[in-house]
Amino acid sequence: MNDNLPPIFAGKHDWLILLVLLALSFLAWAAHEHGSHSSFSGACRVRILTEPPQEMLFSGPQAQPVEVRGRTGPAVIEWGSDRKIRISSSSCPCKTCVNMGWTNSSSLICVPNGVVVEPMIAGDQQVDAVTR
Amino acid sequence: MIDQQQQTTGHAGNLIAGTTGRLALTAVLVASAAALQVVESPLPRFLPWLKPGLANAMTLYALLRLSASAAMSVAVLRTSIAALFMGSLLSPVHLISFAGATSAAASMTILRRLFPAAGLATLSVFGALVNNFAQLAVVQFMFAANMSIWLHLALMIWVALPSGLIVAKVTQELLRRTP
Repeated sequence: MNDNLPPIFAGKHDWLILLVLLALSFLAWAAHEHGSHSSFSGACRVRILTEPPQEMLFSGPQAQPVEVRGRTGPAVIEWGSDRKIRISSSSCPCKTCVNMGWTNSSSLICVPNGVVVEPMIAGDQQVDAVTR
Repeated sequence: MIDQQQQTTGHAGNLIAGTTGRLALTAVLVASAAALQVVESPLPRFLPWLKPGLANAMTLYALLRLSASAAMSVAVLRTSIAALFMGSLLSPVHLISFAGATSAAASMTILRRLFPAAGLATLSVFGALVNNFAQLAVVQFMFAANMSIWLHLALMIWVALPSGLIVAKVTQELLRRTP
């Protein structure tokens, strides 16, 4: 056993740094809340980073979930009744994109599957769905 | 004469044993960290990004017990070995993991040099935070067309706090149980 151990919390510097981190988290949370109040109407851009890359633009919420095929397989994008959007299922191994849940402001990115869902504010797009 | 020979042999022996010992300890830490990363990967998470990040405990242990270069070696090698086992070597997933781990090792090293008296919790939480931040930066660079991905930062900071504290406690236990 080694009894000469560095402590978990050593002194005032520790608390100062942790307080700065907490302040940063509060600022980040405030920015997130501010972003959530953007005028998102359900329009979004979906990029699929396969070879060749594809891009789909949706001008508003879709009644049915949309299935796209990424690098590792299908991913399903779903619009909610409260003008939010999520990746409801994905064939990626970690499911981080699915666990991100609903959003109306921040992008949803599935790195293994190469699927990027970017919410857009109202008026940015005038089309229903475009694929290229 | 005998004493001189014993001293020389002893000195050389200690030198080899010291170098070999450090190398062996680094290898054990790399292997342990890679195994932890592979095992943690498929575990269910209550929140996105919320995983203990126990592999970072090996990096922190290497930093405290060995050196900054050993800590960086653990970070570089464990992400590569884990990616090799998970079939993601040189993929975006590997690059994101690599950026996070090496950034965490570098940031903990810098923080320890700036604040030598910093506690394990501060080092670990700071490392976890920089890890998340670096991963987000790589995702932004590789995938995102706009800056909205940074809105996830609040969640990532909150996740860094508990995971950093867990890693600090694990590292303290490792230090306590090893000579």
